[in-house]
Amino acid sequence: MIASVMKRGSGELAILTVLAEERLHGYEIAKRIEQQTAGVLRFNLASLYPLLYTMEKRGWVKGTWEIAASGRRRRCYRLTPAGRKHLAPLRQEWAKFFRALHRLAGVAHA
Amino acid sequence: MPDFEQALKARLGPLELAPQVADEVFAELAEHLEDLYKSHLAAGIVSEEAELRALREIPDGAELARKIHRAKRGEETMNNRTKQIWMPGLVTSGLATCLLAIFENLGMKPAVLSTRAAIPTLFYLPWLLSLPVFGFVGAYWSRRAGGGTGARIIAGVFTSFIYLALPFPLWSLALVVDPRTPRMAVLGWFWCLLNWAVLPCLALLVGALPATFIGSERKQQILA
Repeated sequence: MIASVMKRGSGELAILTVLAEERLHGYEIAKRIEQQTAGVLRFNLASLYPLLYTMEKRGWVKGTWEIAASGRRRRCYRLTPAGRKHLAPLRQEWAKFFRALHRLAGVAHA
Repeated sequence: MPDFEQALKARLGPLELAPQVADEVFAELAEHLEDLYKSHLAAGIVSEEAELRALREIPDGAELARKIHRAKRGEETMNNRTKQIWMPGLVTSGLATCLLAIFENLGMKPAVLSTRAAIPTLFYLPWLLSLPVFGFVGAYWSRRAGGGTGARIIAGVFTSFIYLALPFPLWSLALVVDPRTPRMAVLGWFWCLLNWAVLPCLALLVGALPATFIGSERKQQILA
């Protein structure tokens, strides 16, 4: 089981990465991350939304209310240019981290 | 469909955010729980169990409310305090102190109030007369940064806080440890408080008050 501190640090990377692909609302963000990490990274409501709101405050993502095809009002998030700029070095940092772990303990990322 | 918005309000309590922002947060979280509920139903789980499983997403409502409040407001509050009070206050204090040093270097002599106190009281009249300008600048800066009435006034009179905070603890300590003339030192202490804190504060306020209120009246007239 991945330690909670590692999950916290990877949360930003996970959310920014899925939003780099397309606009999503909160439930879709959580589902997409769970699916693409085979359940290793799982956000519940209590961990997802404070992080989303913090990232929105920092200008990395932008949420807007939209009417879905079903007629429901949903708040969809998209990656901003500032978020895209933040994502690139974040990816490099994590890649460097895993390369270092691999050198040390033979641990490789997927 | 269960009323997840009511359930969230019961668990999180009031969010201490602007009403519209709080309503949007509850609506968004309720949508998330509804999606979760529907996915449990689609997986064949009965309605009551699906509702319970959805609500388990919030193990600690009070903690979630705090985190949301901090995420929505926390950073902004800190930044606003810096923009509206500290920045204008420190800059105008620095400029006022530089001006005092310039007056000293130009050879302007303070008016010496002759008292029986051990510490002679010096009134730098030109400097005191210039303080309303710094009070106005500090308050106006705070107003442009979105500061309310309190923030504007504090930013305007900030210089007097600096003089109150820096020398007076030292003078107070000297008062305690100096064995020579305690009675006269107390009198001198009060004269210094008047000269370096009270009078500058009043002079700064003369400039800060117009910057705090005059524009607000004009805005109210336009709206009326």
